[in-house]
Amino acid sequence: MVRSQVVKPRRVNVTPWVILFGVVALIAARVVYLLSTGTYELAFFAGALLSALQLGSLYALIALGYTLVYGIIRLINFAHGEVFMVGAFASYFLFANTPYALPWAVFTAGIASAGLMYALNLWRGKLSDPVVLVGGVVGFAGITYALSVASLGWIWAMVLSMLVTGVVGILLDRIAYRPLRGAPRISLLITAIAMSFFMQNAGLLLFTRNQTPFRPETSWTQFLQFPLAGSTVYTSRMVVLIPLVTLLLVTILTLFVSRTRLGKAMRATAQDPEVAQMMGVNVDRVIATTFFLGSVLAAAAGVLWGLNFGSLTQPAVFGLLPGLKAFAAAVIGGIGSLPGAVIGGLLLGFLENFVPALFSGVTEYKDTFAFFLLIIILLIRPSGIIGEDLSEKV
Amino acid sequence: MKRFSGSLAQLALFIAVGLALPLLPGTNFSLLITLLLFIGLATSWDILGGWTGQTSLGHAAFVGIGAYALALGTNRLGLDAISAVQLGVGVAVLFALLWGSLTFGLRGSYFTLSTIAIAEILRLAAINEAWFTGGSAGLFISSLPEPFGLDLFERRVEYYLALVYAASVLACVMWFASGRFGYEMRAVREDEAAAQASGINPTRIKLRAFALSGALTALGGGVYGAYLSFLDPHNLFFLPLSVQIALTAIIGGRGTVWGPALGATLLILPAELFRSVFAEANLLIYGLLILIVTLFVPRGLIGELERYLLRRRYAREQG
Repeated sequence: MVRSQVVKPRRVNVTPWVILFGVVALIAARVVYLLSTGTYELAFFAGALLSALQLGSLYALIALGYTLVYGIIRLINFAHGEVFMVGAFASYFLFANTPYALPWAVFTAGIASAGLMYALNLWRGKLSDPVVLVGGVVGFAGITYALSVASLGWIWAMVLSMLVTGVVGILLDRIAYRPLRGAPRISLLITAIAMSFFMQNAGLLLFTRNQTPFRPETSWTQFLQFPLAGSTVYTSRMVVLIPLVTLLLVTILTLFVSRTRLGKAMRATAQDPEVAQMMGVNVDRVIATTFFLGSVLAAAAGVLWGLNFGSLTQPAVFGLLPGLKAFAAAVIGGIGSLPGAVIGGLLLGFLENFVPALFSGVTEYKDTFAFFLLIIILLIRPSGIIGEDLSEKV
Repeated sequence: MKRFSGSLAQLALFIAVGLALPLLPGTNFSLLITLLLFIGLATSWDILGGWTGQTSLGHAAFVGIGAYALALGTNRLGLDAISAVQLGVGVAVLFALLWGSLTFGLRGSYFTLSTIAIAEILRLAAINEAWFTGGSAGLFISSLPEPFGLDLFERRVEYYLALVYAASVLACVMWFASGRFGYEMRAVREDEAAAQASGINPTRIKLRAFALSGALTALGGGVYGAYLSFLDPHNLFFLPLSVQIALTAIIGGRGTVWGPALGATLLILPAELFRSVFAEANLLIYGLLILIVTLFVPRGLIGELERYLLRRRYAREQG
């Protein structure tokens, strides 16, 4: 695949910034107006802003998966919403049960430790490396013990679910995308859709309920209130947890991409897969790593999503809308760019949770904001808010 | 060069089989209606998606427009069934022209994204404007006028309607496939710049294809609405339906006359069959089937067949 790189003089397009400034000014004016008429107090806006941050962080985590994969192989991973679903339901599976019967514990631990070994293998480069072997054996024993003695706490369920989902991501690439490297993009789109069909319905076989309660034992879901400017902000402790976890994961991801050898290989592949291969980068390994990372983040988002809303809708629809919206967020921020995905996610969270607080008439339409914004961005600046120019040459 | 693009004889055979099927004992009308509708819908999609090469994943919007126009036109506006469907087709054309002129500046997957976004906006509008559309709970079509004394709730009538619909969409595609419009669309698909250089206005061709595709899809939506008699916005406007329509055409072979029809036959029949055999898991197998076909038959069935025939002829001509 030859991608022509035309060097153009840098021209700053002011239109999006004018629109952005206009929207921000409008929102600020509305806030000031509502405050001055005494309709709402400052605490109300603080609460709305916090919940916007909460939802935005979740979108950002999912959007990172889209942007990582797109950055490396220019593929819109349509099945990513279902990866997010797998993450949420896998963690439910892990914490909701009473201690596992031994065969189940061995089975689950087998899958999880296979994932662990795969991840270690990506890092160490070969399967027979002592670190990989010891990690696998210790992981297997530890997980079997943990599962068969007591049910897991949500943190361990989350960590395990992230591993398992990471492996699901790798398998997704292995089954549906790797055989089609170099094939027309439309084939990749179809296999992606086929895989999401498959995962949705496989999930539906296991979880048929419309609402699966998601209430692990934790104090993080309790209410939180604090005084602000003479009144009280009511929220939940999730408002601390979600941005914190997101920040942690994004930091780890950034460090991984910028500091490690494999991260360097990822950046090289993103620039030019063929040249990277010639320089000795194992491109297939890099792509597998990318899917692993994206899926791990999606799984974390899935668990936090479950904690935040207290229940999961049925698997066939659970990942659909969050996936589509997060994808819109990734494009809005600039697909292929990591900060872009975070900015897009936060912006979307802000639009969905803060703007309806200001303009009560639009509440019913908040689910469309992502798509309106997507179309506007596509029309005025297809590269997204901070993305590089990836305007497609078909 | 004679293309494997179908002929009147093939269409006649299609209609003859369609007329003969209900004469068999124990005909499953629901299955056949669904099949015929999807043949028509996928062929309509293919006008834009295959012939013109603009992959849309928003065609469910047109199905929704057609179905809702029938329901709302007859029950709220007091129109007769035929005018209501005409209204739906008219709205679909206007909508397609507006939608197209807004988004045809986008290329490739960016266009696809915008179609998803617009259909999604329309779906949420249909859910939220409950005073008009019945909202999220859906809309029952309790009564329909009887054009020419035909009861539109009777399965046999619906079957023939669906047959007429599928056959006319196929006839329409056949008619332009070998004509000027067909060549123009293919030229735009293969290379817009080259098409422009030879005097074709790509945007105009794309708009025309979109309007035609949308109109025919809305027409099918009208028949689908009468068949369902319960309109659920979570189904009619939603991405999975768009995806199903597009997949049907792609797997059969996009940009061919009979490809979408073949795709519908291969996808709808097994899906319905699996439903009775595997109950819950039917779509699971459906997904696997699609995966396998795409991995091993990347050009679609008719597309691969055409390629094979072309290669054989080439080999023969070269001696």
